[in-house]
Amino acid sequence: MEQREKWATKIGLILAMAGNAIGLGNFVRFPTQVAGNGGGAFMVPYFLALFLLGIPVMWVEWVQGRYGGKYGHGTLGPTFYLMARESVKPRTALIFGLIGGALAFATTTLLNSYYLHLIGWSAAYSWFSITGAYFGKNTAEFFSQYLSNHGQVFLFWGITVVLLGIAVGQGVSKGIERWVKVMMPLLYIFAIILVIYVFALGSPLGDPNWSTLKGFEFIWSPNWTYLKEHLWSVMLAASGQIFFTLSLGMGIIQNYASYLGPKDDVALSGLATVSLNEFAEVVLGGSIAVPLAVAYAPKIVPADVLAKGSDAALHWISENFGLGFSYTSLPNIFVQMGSAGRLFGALWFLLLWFAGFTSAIAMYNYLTALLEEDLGIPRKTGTWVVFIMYFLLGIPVVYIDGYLDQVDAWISFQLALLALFDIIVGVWLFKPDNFWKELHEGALINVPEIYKWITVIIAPIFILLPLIGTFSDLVSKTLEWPARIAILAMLTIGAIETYYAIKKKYGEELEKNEVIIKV
Amino acid sequence: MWAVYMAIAWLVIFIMMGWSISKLMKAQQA
Repeated sequence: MEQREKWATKIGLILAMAGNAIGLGNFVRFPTQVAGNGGGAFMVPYFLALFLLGIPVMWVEWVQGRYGGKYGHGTLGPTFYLMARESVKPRTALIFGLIGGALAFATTTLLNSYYLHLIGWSAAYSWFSITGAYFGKNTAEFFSQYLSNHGQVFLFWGITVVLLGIAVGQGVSKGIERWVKVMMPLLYIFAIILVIYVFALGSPLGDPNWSTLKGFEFIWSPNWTYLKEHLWSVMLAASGQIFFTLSLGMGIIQNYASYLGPKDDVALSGLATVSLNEFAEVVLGGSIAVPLAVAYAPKIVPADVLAKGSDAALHWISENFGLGFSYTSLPNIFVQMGSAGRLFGALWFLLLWFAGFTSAIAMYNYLTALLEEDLGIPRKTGTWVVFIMYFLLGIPVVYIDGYLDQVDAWISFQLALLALFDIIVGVWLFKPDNFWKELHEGALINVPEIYKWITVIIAPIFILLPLIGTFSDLVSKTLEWPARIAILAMLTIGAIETYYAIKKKYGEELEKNEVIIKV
Repeated sequence: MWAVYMAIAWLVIFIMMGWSISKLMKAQQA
């Protein structure tokens, strides 16, 4: 069997995995979810979902990745096929392979097609902050003007994606690992500087009712009444956030884990990835945007809402928090900070750029690995093929109104769906005992037995929550034709590609319908 | 009271992170 690339160092692997997991989800989506779901009311189910869903699925994906890597696969289709073979005949296992391959292909193409644009916006806004481009202007108008200047949008997108292509083209240990070893420490340093600044800010407008501490109080007061009244929606939001933040249900954790040696630890490494991500999310991501928004509420909340009192103002912030908020309301705050705001704003958007970059690189690598391993296209050529694909898939993001939100809604659903198949294939069909044995192969820790049953029984129930919830939401929102066509096309191409890849290597097995290749 | 909840959550995350990373680093050196 052809020798696959391997991670050069443990720290490089962990930083790459943490970079994979840490993204805009930590610094933009998490504050949005906390603010929009009753502040402290969100944190209770969030931690529950972390321990009962996030950690077990993370382990399942690490195990799947290393298992696929043993057979020379970094993509999900063949890996699912190999694991399903343990319980069902090869021809039936092929169906699971097709499902896994199609879903992972659709995620890594569609999600990254708009994610790369968001990262491009962050690069642009870092530049606009340091040059003071939006200072003294209406920030909402400035944002819409920027979006309608397609040349500028594609310029910052292009800079980002060319850099991604270069990093991926250099390979796993010489490219991705080296890049994240620089970027991840910088990301943590930037975020820590911003958090210290937020703590020191106090009441910047001189009114003790509006301070950064009030923002922390909003996040960390367990709001039981709100939780009781909105239990289902808050649980849904919490478990959905866990998928996004840990990059689960995308196929990219498996892809990175496929570059492990067969005896390399996955149990402790998976836990370390989760820990690093939670530090970046709960400690850092939760301590910047929301406290800032609360401290500067009188400057960003409309006067009529502000007149109704602090609860109404907090509610307005909750309702309006989101992606747009980061590019329209937060810049207003940087303007209020004066010249310090230029630096603060630049650091904030650069932080978002780093966070996004180190996640996008994993999706980019998934597709490059797919071209390289399944279709025999050399890595360097493959990176340019992926570049062109992302350029084409990014066009509707820029030119069709509502497309981004619709595809994003579908992706939310799809992440949960793929995570469910992770467990169906990687635990149930692979057999719980085999999964447990694989998890402990070369492990540096002993995972308590209770986690076996949490993974087999409780985690899938937890996954069904967002699955059912987001599906009904998706149906009511109704995807429009451009989004539907893009989704169906990517799923179909993903399934065809997977079929080709499995048939190429395991054709004889499928013909005889019995397992032949075993390592 | 909120400060206590925040401190506990942060502490749990710090311990998880410190413990897992230091254990991995030791294994790397060994």
